[in-house]
Amino acid sequence: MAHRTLAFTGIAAALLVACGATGPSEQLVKARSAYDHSANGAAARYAPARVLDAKQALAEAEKADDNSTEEKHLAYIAERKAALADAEAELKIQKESAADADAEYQRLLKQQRAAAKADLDRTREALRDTVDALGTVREDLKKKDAKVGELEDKREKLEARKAELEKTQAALESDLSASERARKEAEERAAAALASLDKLANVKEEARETVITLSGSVLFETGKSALLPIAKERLNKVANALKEMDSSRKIVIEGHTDSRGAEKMNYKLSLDRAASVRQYLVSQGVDPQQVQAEGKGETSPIADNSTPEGRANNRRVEIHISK
Amino acid sequence: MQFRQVGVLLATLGSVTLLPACAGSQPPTNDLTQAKATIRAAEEVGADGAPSASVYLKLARDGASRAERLMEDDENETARMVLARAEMDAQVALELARTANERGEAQEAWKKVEELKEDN
Repeated sequence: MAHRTLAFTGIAAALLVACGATGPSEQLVKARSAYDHSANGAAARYAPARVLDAKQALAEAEKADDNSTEEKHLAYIAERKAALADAEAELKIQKESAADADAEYQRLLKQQRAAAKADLDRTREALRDTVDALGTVREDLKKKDAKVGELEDKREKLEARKAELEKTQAALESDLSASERARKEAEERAAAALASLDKLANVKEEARETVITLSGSVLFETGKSALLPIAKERLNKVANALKEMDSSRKIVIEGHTDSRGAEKMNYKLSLDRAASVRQYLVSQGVDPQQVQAEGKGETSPIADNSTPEGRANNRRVEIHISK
Repeated sequence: MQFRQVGVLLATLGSVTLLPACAGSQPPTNDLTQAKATIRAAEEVGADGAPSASVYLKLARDGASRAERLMEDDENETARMVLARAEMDAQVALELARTANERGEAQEAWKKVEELKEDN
């Protein structure tokens, strides 16, 4: 009985399929539309397996009887499979977008890091340049310091040398003034000595020489060349005066006679007398290198030989001291 | 005898063709378990919070509840079909929730890109 009922229901269902008068269910229409959307949209590319799945499910639904419960059921399934295909496609698109964003983020980060690094490198380079420049300046300063030190040393040495020279100069000046003073004192003493001779002899200052004239009668006996004792007293004073004088001054002792007697004899007598005087002066300390004796005879009279007074004046010894 | 044979054939055909409509077959326990698992999976990825997904999630839950009632009434074949649809609803909800999450992440990623651009 139950089997028979079932059988009849089956026949009814079969008849319904064959008939097809009522058209497709609302679900099938929706499923077709959903599938179209998937097959022609992003899902075709991103979720082809799902689209295929939906296609097969739709085909199953299309096979079912129009408006049957089976058709509605299968169409529902097909419509959901199309929705799944769309959802999966969208998911993949979003994933791609996220990946793109990440890639872009990394790219930007890399770019920014590169820019930052370049900036840092530039800053570092600038810093290095500055440090180099500083080094150069420092080295330059060091060189200049060394140069200043050198100059300072040189200056110190020069100052020391200058001080030395000034000392030497001062010493020389004091030496000079001492010798000058000594010379002056000597001159003064010599002048004083000469002045003291004034009472004993005739002292005459001429342009180039000082001439001391001693009268022959005071020094010698007539016709002799040996000195009288009184002459020695006078010549002592002359010797003292000569010793006071500068040793560079030349001293010439000239003997002179009057015109009586033979000229040759007179010459010899005058030379001998000059030599006597020289010898005595040397014995009293006058430098022998400084003094020489000459005989002039009767050749250089200073007075008239025709009178006794004139002849007395012509008999004389002259001491010429150069200046 | 011949009629009986035809009857048997038709009965066999009918039982094959209309098996889903038939009461008294085995209850679709596995299908129910599967549908519930998919619903849970959708819930875990936040389908309730995603407007596009929540509509499907509600349909899936309703379907699962309805299937349970049908199974109590021994309407197992109807329950199986309801569960098949509920499973699809849950899968769509799951996929849409994932999509919504991914969209959020993509938006976040682009926001970061924009922020990075603005920083410089």
